[in-house]
Amino acid sequence: MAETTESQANGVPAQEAPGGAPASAAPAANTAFVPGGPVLLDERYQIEPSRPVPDFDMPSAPAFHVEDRRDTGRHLLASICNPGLPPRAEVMPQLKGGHVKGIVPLVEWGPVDWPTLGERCMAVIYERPAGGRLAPNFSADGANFTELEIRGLIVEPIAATLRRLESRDLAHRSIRPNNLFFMDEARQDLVLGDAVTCPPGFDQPLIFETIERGMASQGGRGEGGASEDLYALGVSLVFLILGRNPLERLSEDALLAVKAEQGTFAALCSRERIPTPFIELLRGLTSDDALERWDLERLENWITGTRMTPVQRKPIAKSADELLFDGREHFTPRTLAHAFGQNTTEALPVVKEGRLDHWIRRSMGNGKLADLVSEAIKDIQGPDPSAPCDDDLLITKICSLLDPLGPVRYRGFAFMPDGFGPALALEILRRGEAQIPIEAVLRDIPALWFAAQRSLQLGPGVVEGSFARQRANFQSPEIGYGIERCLYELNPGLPCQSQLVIQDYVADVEDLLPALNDAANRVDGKTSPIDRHIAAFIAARMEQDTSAYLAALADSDPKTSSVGLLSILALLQWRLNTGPVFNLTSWVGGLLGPAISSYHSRTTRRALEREIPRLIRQGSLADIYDFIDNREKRRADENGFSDAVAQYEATNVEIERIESSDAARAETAETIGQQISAMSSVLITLIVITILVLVETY
Amino acid sequence: MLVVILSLPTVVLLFFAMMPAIVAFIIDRSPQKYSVYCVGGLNFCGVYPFLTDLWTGQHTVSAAVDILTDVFSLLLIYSAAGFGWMIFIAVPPLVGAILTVISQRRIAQLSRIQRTLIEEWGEDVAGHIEEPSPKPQEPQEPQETSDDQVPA
Repeated sequence: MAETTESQANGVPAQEAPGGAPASAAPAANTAFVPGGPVLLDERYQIEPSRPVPDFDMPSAPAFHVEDRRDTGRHLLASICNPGLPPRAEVMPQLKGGHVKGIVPLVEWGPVDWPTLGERCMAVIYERPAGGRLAPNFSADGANFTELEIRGLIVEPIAATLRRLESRDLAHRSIRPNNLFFMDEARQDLVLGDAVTCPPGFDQPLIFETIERGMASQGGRGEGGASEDLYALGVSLVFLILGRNPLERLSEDALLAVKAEQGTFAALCSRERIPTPFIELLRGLTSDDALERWDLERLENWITGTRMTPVQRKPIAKSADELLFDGREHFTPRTLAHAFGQNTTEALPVVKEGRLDHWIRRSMGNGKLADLVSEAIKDIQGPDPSAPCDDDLLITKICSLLDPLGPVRYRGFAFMPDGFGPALALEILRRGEAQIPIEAVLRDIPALWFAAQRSLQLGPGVVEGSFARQRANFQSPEIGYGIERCLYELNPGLPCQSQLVIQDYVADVEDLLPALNDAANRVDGKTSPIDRHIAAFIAARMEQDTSAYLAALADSDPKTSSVGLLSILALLQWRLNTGPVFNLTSWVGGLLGPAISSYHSRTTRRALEREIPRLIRQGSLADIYDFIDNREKRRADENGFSDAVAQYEATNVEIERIESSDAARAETAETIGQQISAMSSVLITLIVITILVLVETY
Repeated sequence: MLVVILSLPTVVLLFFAMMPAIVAFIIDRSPQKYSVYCVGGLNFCGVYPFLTDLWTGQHTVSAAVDILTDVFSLLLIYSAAGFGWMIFIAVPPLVGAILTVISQRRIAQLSRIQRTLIEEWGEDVAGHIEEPSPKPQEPQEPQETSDDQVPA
C-alpha cells in the first residue's frame, strides 16, 4: 500500500496496476483492512492479517507478517495474491527454497482463507529481507551510490541472478528499483523481489517494459526472457543513477510515443547527466532493437571491464511530416500502429482513403512498406475500394505491417503471443467473456503476426503450435474443451473458476476432490459435480490423457455420460491418492441412476443398487467405479443380454411360425385324423373278430 | 371266378353287405383311401357274425339272401359301417382341435418366456438396437492396472 501511494506520488502511472485487476480482488490498495485471526498455511506458517508489512507490499499483493511455528526465530512475510490474477505457478517450484540465489527466497505457497476478502487466495511465503528495499520510491538518492557501488552492489549480483534464471529458462519480469531488496541489515546482499504473484510484467510500470511489450495489454505482456529483464535493469539503473524518474510527467501514451520516436535511451538520458562509464551500458541495455540489446554475456564483459564494440546508433525511421490520428501527431509507424490498434473505427478511413499510403510513401519515404500496405488492402478489400470488407482483419494486418515487432492487435485487444494466456484470463475475469481473444485465435490472427516478424525471438514453432492447439480447443463445443480448456492450459496458476469450487481456490488438481467434497454440502444433489470449468481444469492439469474420459462424459446418452463422470472422478482419486471423500461419493452415488441402468440385467441392477450404499459409506469413488463398471460384470451382462436377445428372437420366430401355420395344421390334422380313424377302425375290427372267434370256439 | 363258383353265397353276402365299403372305395379319391379302411373295417365287423353263420350253417345262396333280407342283420351290418363313417368324419376335427390347443399352449409358454426375458433384460431385448457401449474405452484403466492398488 505504501508502495502504491508513494509511487503514485512519484508520478509513475503504471503503478495503477492493482486498479486494473478485477474489482473483487484488490487486496493491496482498495480493500479496507479488517483485522482477523491468524491464517495457517501447511499447519506451519501462521499468517497474521492484523500485521501488514507495507514495506514489502507488491502492487498486486500486499505483505503480511508470518510466524513459522517450527522455527519461531525465522523472519518471514507472506504476499497475498490477488485472486483475480493468475500467479506464475509454474515458476514457484523453481524458486522454492532459495534454489535461485539472488532472488528473495521463496519458502512456501498455497491457498489460504483470507478474512479481509472472505475468499481463498494464494499466499506466497518469502524470507523477509532484513535490509528492506533498495529504493522504496522507484528511485534512490544517487549520491548514496558511487559508480563502484552501482557496479558491485547492484549490477553484478543482478547479472549473476539473471544468468541463473536464464539457465533455468526463466525470466524475472519484475525488475524495477522498488522490487530490489537487501537480505542483510548491512545492505550488501542485493536480491530481486517477488516475481510470481501476478502474470509476467503485470506489475511493471510501463517505463520498465520494452516498447513492444508495453504496447500490449497489461496481462498480455508475455513471459519474455533475459532480454526483457536486461531492458528493465537498464531503465532501473537510469532511475538509480539519476535518483528519480526522468519521464515521470508523461502519460502512458506519451511515454510510448517518446520511447518509439526517440528511442528509450535517448528519451531517458538525452537531457540528463549520466556518468560516462555507464553510458555504453545503459545504451546497450535499453536498446529498442532486441537483436542489438546487450545480452548477459556483454553485460558480464562490461562488469569485468572487457572492451567491446560500442552499440551503433541506428536512426529511428521517422516521417518528415506528421500524420494526425486520434488527436495525436504520429511520426513513426510504430506509434501509429499502436493508435490504430486502440481505435479501429477511426483507423479505417485513414487506411481506405489512402492517407496512410500517402504518408508512408511521401513523408516516410518508404515505398516498400507502402507497397506492402497497398497489397494487404487489395488482398482483403479487393479491387473496389468502396466494397465492404473485413475491417478488423484489415486493420490487424496493417498494424502488423507497420509494427511487426509489436503485439498482436485485434479489435482493441493487444497481446504478445507468449502472453495470450494471462491476457485471456484477465479478459474473462474482468469482463466475464472473451469474445475478442477467441475470435482472434479462431481467425488465426497470430499467424499474421508470425508472418510479419522480421526477427523472431519467441521460438515461433512452440508458440505457433500452442495457438493451433488452442484453436482446436476453441472450436470444440464438447465439455472439457472450449475456452475453459484454453484458460487452464495457458494459465497453470489460475484456480478453477467453476462456481462449485471457486471459493476454495483450487489451483492444483490435487485439491479438486476435497473441494468438491466440501461443495457436496452446499449444492443441489442433482447438479453434476463436473461442469465445463472443472472438466477443462482436470484435462489441462492432469498429466494423463483424459480425452477418452471426456468423450464419455460428453456423450449425449446419460448412461455413458454418468459412467464418464464417475470414471474421471475415480481416476482423480486413484491417481492422486486422495483419501476418502464421503460427501462427494454420496453426491456422485445419487447421480449413478443412468450408469446403473446401463446394465441390461434387472438382477444385476438390483444387486448394484443394494451394494452402492455400502460403497458410498467407504468414500471411495474408485471402488464404486470398479463395482459399477466392472469389466467381467459388464461382459457377463452383455453376453447375457445377447443370449436373451437371441432367445427372444427364437421365441418370436416360433410364435410366428405357429401362428402362420393354421392352414397347414388343419391339413395335418385332417391327415392324422384320417390315419387315426383308419387305424382305429382296423384295430376295432381285429379285436371284434378275435373276440367272436374266441366266443364261437369256446 | 372260381371263388364265385365255389362260394357264391359268401360272395353274394359280402357283395351286398360290404356295399358301404365299396361306396367308400369309389368316392374316396385320395391315394391312401383311409375311408375304405375305416368304413370297410367296421363294415366287416358287422358282416363277420353272419358270415360265420353262413359258413357254419347252410352255405347256400338262399341262406345268404335270408341274411340280407333280414332287417335286423342289415341294420347291424350297415350300422357298423356307419359307425366307421362316423369315426372317419369325427376324428380329424378332433385331432385338429387337439393340435390347435397344443399350439396355443406353446404360444402361451413362449409368451411367458418372452415376458420373463423382458422383465430381466428390459424392453431392449424385444426391439434390440445396437447401441455404443456405455463404457468409455480408457476409464477401465484404474481397475485394470491396479487391482491391488485401488483401495478396497
